Amino acid sequence: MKVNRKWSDEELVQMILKKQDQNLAISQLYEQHYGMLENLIIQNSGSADDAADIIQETMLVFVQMIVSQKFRGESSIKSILYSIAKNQWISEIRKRKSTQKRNEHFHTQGQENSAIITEAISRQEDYNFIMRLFEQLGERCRRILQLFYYEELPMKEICEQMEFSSEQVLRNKKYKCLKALHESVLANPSIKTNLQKILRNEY
Amino acid sequence: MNTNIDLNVLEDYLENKLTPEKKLEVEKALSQDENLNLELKALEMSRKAIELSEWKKLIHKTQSSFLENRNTRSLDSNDRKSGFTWLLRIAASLTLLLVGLGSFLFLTTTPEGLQDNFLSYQVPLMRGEAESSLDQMKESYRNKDFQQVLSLGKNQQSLEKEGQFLVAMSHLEIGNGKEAVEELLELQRKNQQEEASFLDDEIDYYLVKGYILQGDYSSAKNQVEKIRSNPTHKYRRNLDRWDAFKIQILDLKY
Repeated sequence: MKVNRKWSDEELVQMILKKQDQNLAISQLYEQHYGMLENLIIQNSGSADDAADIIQETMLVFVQMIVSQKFRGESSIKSILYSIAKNQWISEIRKRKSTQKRNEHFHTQGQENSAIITEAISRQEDYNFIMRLFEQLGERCRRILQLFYYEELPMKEICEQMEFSSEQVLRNKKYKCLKALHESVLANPSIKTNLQKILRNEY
Repeated sequence: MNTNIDLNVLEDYLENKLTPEKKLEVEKALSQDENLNLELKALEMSRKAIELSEWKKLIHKTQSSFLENRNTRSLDSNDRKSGFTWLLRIAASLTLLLVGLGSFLFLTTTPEGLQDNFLSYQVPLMRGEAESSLDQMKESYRNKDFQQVLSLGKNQQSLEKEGQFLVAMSHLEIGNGKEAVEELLELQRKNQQEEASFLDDEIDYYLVKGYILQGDYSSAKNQVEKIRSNPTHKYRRNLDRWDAFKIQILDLKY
């Protein structure tokens, strides 16, 4: 999608937070910053495909920071995206156990990362896990939860859209769907451990 | 889960929809029950994960579209670059060809080559001609005894125009450009004075050859232009643009 006008950093944050023209906001982020982020990865022994994967995850972490109210425009979007991508790439090359020397060098360069970014990336791993659990729910469940939590549609409208006989039936269904996800999250030992760490402020 | 605090209550707590009493009850339970805290955090993160799941789809879609557009733009740009490169190549080839042709012409165009293009004057053969000096000059000219023509011409005190013309032609034939031009210009002056037109077109034509022999290419060029600008000139077709161009080259070269 071609973005015709340019929004300021502050406007972009508000568009994402309020979900107003959020597709245009994301498009502008890509137009403005993809090249810079891609160069970062490619210049540090990554490929164009690596860059595409890292940038997609970077954008998601950035959105997560906004919707979690962890980013309120204290620094520029450009610098925050750069820091997220850099951290993500450091983690990736560590996983791949590529040239140790280069990793160490790159890692020391990345030491200026703020704790907030490290925390957001860490949290994203948990979210990614929960998102996979969410994908395991039935199609109808996913649709109800998505319309309710992402689209923020009122029950009445969801009821009409999904052709439920009554709002109460929909409420019961939504409760069951959410409960199923909630239980599967709590049933996972690693997520549970991470949640406990979060509660103990160990993250 | 605390029996009084189910998922709906926790949701209402997160959305700040509880009555103050119920909110107090939940907070009291949270302060005492670690599992309830865990359930609340799991709920909070599940709700956010549902939201992020949609964001992920939007980001993925936007990225695909962005990369597709970027590749298309890149291809378009390459096409344009490729087209431009071809144009440059063609232009370079043409330039090289023209430079080559120019160099070839410059090197191969010589005064001798141009002179060869000129027709030699032919004396018309008339029956029953008397044995006058002019007749002898004509006869010698026909026999290509140009020195004899010049010698006969010198011996005459008052040379007729025709005789003078044969002297000029003989000078041309033996390569005396300067003398030939002088004789032809003299004839031209006589014609102008007498308002006559004796061999006017021939004088113009052979003056070109005379100037070339003399090495006066600028005058030769002017003379060619004079002939070519006159549509009724007898020798207009004998001197084309190519000849004018060659004379121009000689003018530059020498």
